[in-house]
Amino acid sequence: MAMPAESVSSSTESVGGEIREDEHGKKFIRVYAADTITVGRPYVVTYDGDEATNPKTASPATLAVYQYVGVATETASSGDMTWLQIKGDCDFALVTGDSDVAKDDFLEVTNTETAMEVDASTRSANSVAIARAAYTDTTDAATLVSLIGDRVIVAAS
Amino acid sequence: MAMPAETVSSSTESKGGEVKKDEHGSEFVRAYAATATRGTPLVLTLDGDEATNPGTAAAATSAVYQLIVFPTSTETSAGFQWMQYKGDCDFALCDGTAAIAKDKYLDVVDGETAMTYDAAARSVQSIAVAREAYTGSADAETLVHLIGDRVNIASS
Repeated sequence: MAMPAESVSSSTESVGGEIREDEHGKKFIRVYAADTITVGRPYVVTYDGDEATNPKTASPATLAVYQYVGVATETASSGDMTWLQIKGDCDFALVTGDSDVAKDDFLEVTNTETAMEVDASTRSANSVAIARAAYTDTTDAATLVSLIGDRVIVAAS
Repeated sequence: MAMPAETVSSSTESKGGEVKKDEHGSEFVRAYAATATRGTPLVLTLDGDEATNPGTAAAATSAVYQLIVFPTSTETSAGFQWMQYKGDCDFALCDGTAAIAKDKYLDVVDGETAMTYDAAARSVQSIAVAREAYTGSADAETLVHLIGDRVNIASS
């Protein structure tokens, strides 16, 4: 498949995978909902060989591979296509304050969790976001964060 | 050097390195190769010469995360061409000596000219996921989905 300099195009297409960036530098990726999606929950972006379901969501699971974690922008049913936010300010990210989250703390998501939690005061390989607001309650709640936009490793705890 | 908001530009330019994305989200980079075989996985490399930068190299063991690219055409003379690194790709060379099933992850190992079976779960070597099975021992063009992330290259 020779590519003229003017245009490039693949011959096949998965339904999802499109990345969009808004005027504020926020980035979003279109994915297949492999399960019921809850707005604000962090999901791992994963892959399979079926163009109808690729890429797709997965619950966070321990894995020493750098992967994208995105925050669901809407509630969606299993089988829907939906957008995950992967970079930029986000005021609907679910955060747990089981361990107090202070503004400027780095946040991660760990194995099977449904919300981000405090990672450390310095960035680690697990850091998904940085808190733009403090949060200390134990209930998962929508919290203002800035998603870093880099791939991360999901730790066991 | 203050940059007006309307334009951004560097003062020097390598001939390659341009990235293009198609309407399906597939991504391509313009890279240099001395010769190229369509669909062969190559490492995207860098050097200090604008005439050959970025370049390509055969897969070699490395614990550095690097981008793997796939020439879109066979070329017998040196030059730049578009190489795909993300999205659905129906011309990626695969070796099915270790049977490749749909949905399995694929990697490229040291000295190889085709992708091979990596694992059922993604690893730091995973370049792509197979969109079809392939079990032949000869390198053959196979439909895969290139993840587009940088990877490590294992020795075997």
